[in-house]
Amino acid sequence: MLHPVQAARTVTQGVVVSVADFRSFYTWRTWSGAWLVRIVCQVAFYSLIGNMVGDSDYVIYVIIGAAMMACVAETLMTSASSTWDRTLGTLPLLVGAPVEPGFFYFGRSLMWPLSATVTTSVAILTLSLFFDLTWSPAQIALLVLLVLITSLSTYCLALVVGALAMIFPGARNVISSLVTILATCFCGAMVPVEFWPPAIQWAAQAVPVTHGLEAIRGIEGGTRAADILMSTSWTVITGALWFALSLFLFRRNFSAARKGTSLLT
Amino acid sequence: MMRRNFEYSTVDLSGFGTGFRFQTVAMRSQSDTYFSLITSPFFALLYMAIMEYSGRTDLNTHAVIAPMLMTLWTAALSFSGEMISENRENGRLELLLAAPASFPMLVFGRLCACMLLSLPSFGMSYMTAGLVFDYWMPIHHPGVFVGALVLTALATAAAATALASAFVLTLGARIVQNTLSFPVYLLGGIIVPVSMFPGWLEAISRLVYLSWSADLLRASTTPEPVANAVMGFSMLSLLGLSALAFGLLSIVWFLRRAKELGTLSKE
Repeated sequence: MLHPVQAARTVTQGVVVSVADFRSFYTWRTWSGAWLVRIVCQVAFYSLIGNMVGDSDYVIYVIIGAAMMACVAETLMTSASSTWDRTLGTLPLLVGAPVEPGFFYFGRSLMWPLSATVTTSVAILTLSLFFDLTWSPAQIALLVLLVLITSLSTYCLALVVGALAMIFPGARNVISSLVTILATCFCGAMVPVEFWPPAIQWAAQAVPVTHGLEAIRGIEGGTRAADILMSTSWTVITGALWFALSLFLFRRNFSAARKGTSLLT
Repeated sequence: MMRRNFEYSTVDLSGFGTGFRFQTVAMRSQSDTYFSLITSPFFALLYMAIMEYSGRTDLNTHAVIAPMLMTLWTAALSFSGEMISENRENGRLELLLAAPASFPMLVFGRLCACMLLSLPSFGMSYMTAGLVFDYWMPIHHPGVFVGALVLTALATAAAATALASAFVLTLGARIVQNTLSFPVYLLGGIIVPVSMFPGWLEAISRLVYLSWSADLLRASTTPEPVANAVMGFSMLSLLGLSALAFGLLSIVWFLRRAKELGTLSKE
């Protein structure tokens, strides 16, 4: 069942649906003229708060944190798109297909982390212009790469959320906005993780964006390459663990559906 | 005939109470209710953490008031999206139009009921700041606070009515719902007063009713007399009434066009 070629084919089929959905959701005009503007405004909103309460270092801290949280929010649209097959009535066909459901769903919503990589990178670079934050070409390349890695790792967490949303489709937006705001509060976006009690600090380590943020801040602040590499590794490791959990949950959902639960009705 | 229809639809208030009562019951089981409310205590936590961390606890009132304004606007975007189209898809629109009540006022009444969510939102925000950070926000001018809150709720319902008509007329609701949140929070000065913006941005922001609401609500928490209260209330009323007039008239225009084209029951 976990044969790599079959897994890749399943992911590819999911990507086909993902691209079709994305095209029906946005046109180039609405994506760039509405969605991208919204993300830039979101980061601007927080950077103005940073500007009101702190010094220029804190503004830079907030710009990066806010942009990465916009990335989390966009990636978590996976929560909604994981329920669409149920709403559209195509879920029974998927349940009957001889594929590993988690791989299909990995492809199914891949448009969100890819779009989030672009919107987040553009937001950081745009706001940098207003707050005297400069990036060398090499830093920009690393920034975009790290945003991509963080988006994809966060996407693995979003797939777990999606597997839960599939069971409770009415709560899809409530769950995703709750996860987003929890990450914004506790994962070091606006205040350091150390601001919170130890139990929360420990819990935050399980979230990929906590480490992704550290890595991106390292790029901006000129931290040692080994430290950046370590944070990036943790981003990938936590993402992989969430992905494994999502494989299990989607398999359980499909298995339950085959036994005749309400998932198919 | 058209003219009579127009007057009947906009001036008659009978639909308002029905819509208000219906929505207070209906929204208890709607996910939009919980979507609008759930983030309120966490935004309070986040903003209070920012103030505490940066040593600007003098701005705590900003942190407590902003989540309530965010809830109002989120509710406006969430509930207005399908307020008219769901009636159309379910085949109820013709029945509602045949009823002896104004449909536009029914929509406005329903959206006003949605604004009741500001109360639990403020309660959660206030309690979060109090219980977690031991900051119990004082309200030195309760009259100004209550007046600003009521007018803000009405203005938001008016803006939501305009959005409801826009959604059914031309725009894709989902994209607008996803897009209009943070730009409005930014221009509405819900946490950073628009007076701190550059001149050109402040001028634009003053056209967003929330900028007047936020100023009045924050001013009501300070011991000093509220400066420019008359100006604030006047602008809030004016902008709210403009949105309401636009919303009601565009619903009437949509209904007239749908009747002419025979598309009342079509998507």
